[in-house]
Amino acid sequence: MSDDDMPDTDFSRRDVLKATGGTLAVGAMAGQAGASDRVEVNVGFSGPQGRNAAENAAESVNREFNFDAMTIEINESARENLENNPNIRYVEDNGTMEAHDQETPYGIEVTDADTAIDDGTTGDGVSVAILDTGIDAQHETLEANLGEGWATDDAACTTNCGGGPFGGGNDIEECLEEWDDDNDHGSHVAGTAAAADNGTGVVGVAPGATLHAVKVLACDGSGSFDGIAAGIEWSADQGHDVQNMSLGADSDSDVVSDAIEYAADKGVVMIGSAGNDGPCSDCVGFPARHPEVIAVSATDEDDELADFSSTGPEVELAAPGVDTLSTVPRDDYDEFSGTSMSAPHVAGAAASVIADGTTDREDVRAELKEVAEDIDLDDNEQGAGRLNVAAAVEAEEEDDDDDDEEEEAEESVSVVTDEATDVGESSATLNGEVAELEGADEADVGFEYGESGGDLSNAVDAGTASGAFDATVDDLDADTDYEFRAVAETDEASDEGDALAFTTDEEEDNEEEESTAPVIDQFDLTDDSNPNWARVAVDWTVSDDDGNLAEVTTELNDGVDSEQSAVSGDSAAGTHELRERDGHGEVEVTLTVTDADGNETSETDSITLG
Amino acid sequence: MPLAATLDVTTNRAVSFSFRVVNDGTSAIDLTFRSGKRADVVVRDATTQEEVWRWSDGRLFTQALQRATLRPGEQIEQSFEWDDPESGSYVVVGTLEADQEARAETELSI
Repeated sequence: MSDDDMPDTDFSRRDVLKATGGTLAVGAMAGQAGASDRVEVNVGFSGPQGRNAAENAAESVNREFNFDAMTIEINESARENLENNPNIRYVEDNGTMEAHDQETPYGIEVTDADTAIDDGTTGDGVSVAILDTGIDAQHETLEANLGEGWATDDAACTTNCGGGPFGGGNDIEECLEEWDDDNDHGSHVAGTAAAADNGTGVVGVAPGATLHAVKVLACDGSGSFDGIAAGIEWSADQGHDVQNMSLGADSDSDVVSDAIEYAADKGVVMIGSAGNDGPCSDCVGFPARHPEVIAVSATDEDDELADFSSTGPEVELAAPGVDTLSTVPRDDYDEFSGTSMSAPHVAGAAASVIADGTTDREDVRAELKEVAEDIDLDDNEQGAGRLNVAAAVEAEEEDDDDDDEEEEAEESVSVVTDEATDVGESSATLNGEVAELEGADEADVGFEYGESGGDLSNAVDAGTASGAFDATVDDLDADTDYEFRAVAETDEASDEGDALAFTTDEEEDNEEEESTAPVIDQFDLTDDSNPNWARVAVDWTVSDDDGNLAEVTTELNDGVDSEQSAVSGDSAAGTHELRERDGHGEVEVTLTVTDADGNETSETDSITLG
Repeated sequence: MPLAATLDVTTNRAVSFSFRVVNDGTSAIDLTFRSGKRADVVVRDATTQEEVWRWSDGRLFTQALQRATLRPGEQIEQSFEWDDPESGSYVVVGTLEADQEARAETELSI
C-alpha cells in the first residue's frame, strides 16, 4: 500500500489506521499504479500443488471456492506461466471485473443500502450537505456527485497546517477549491453518504445524491460555533435536503441551536454524530443531542456497539462506524472509526428515502426509525435500532394522513403506545414514548384505557416527558382484556398512539389451566441471497386463542443471526430477514413464538441458499 | 510518566500559547485521540482559580478516532490564540487530550 513507507512520525490518520485496516486491498483499486496490467481470473486447479501455484501467482485472492478453484488478481505477465502449469486446470477471464474494481464497504451491506441501490433507489437528485473539513474536489468516485461548495474564512482550505502530529492536516499539495479537503475527515464522511456507483473505489449509501462541501472545520479538525452556524444557514438557504454533521462538542451553543432551528423550519433533515466519549451513558454530544438533529451511535460489522460510542436518550439510530472504508484525498481510500463514520450512513439513507418520495423531514425521520433493526442493544445505545436503508425506502408513509391542522401548527407532537409490561391480576405498567416533539421541550403525557370493546374511559397521568414514559394502573379486574393508548399534549398540539391490548392474569387459584399455547399458522422460507450474503426471508403468521402473544423469534443456524418481534393480541404476522456472510448452502431456521404466560411453540425448517 | 509537557506564552495584543509534549522515555508511546481535539488550554484567575478562558469552548471537532506514535525524544506541538484578554494574573494549564496524560502549567500576567 502506498502509505506504508511513510515515517511513523507522520501523523496522518491514513498512515496510522492502515495498520489496523488489515485485509483491505487498497492497492487493487483503480487509479493505483500497476493496476492496469492486472487482470482478474478464475483459476481451476488440481490438488494442493495447483492451489499453491495459483496463490503464488496471485497479487490478491478475491474469492476461494469449496471446490478446487479461486478467483485471483494476477499480472498479465504471470498468466502464461500459470496456464502452462500442469496442476492448473484452467485460467479464465472473470466477466465481472468492473464489479470487483469497486468495493462495497461492509456498512453499505449491513444496512441493506446495496439492496436499495439494486432496487434503483440511489438518492438521485437529492442534495446532501457535508458540514465538515471539506471534500476532495477531484476524487475519482466523488467528483461526479459534487455540487456547489462553501467555506468559512477560518476553515478555508490551506496547504500549510502547521505540520507535525498536532497539525492534523493531510498535506495536500494544492487547494483546488476553498472547500477542498485539507484533513481527510470530510472526504471520508462524504464517501460513505454518497460515493458514486461508477465501478471505482467504493460506493456510498446514496450514490445518486449530490454532495455539497460545507467547509466549517479547519485542517486541524476543529471549527468555531459561529462558523458551523453560518454553514448550516448557507446550506439551508441553498435548499439542501440533508445536512450531515460528523462533529461535536461537550457544550451547547445557542447560535448553532438557532441555526439548526432555522434549517429545520426550511425542512432540512439533520444528522449528527453521538460522539466518541464511550463507554459512557447519557453523554451524547452537541449538536447531535439537539431535538431537531438525528443522533447516531456507532456499531461494528457484527452489530455490536462500538466501545467508543457515546450513548444516551437522544440516540435515535445506530449505524456502522468501526473500521469504516471510504474515500480520502486524492483518489485514496482508508478505514476510519468514529461516530463521524456512522452519521453519514443515515444521511445517505435520508437522501434515498427523500428520493423515493417522502419529503417531509419528520416523515423521513419516522420512516428511518420505524424500520430500524433491533440489534439487542439498549434503547440508549441503538435508539430505534440499527439503520436499514432498504426497509426505510419501502416503509409506508403511514403518518401522512395525520391531521393537517397539526402539521401547520408551530408545535407538533407525536406519541406511540408501547406494550404493557408487568401485567398482573389487577395491575399493569402502561408504556409510551414521545417520538417527535417540535416547538416544545416536553409534552403532558398519560394513558387512556378501558376494557376491550368498550370506550377507553379511564385516564391516568404520566407527568411530562420528551421521550419514554410509563404509568402503573392498579384497579384492573383479573383475567380481563384491556386496551390502552398513550396520549400527549402540548399547548398547541396533541396526539394519541394506537391502542394496544393486554390481558390481566387470572386469579391465582385458577392457575394457568385456561392458558393456551401459541400456534404457528405459517412458516415459509424464501431464498433472498446475493453473492456476499446468504439471506433467507422468513414469512410467519402466529396466533393464540387466549390473545396474549408476546414475542416471535427467528434464528438462523443456532444463533448465527436472529431477529425478534414483539407481538400481541390473538394473531400476528411478519417477515424476518436472516443472513450470514458467505453462509450459502443448507441452513436451518427456527421459529419460536411465546405468549405472556411463558408458553412457547417452536418449529424448525431448512432451506438451501444459493 | 515519560511524557513531559511544556507550555510557552507569548503576549502581544493577543496571547499565544505553544503547548509541547515530548517523549522523554526510551520506548515509543502510542496515543489515541477521541476526536479532532488533541490538546486544550485553560486559563484560570490566579487568585480566585475561576476559569476565565478555555480554548475548546465555542469549538466543535471531528468525531473520528486518531492515533499517533511518539518515539523517544520526539516532540509534538500545538499553538493556541487567546484573542482579547483582560489584564490580570492568570494560571494557564495545557493538557494533552489523549489516552495518555501530559500536562503543563505556567503563570501569566497581562
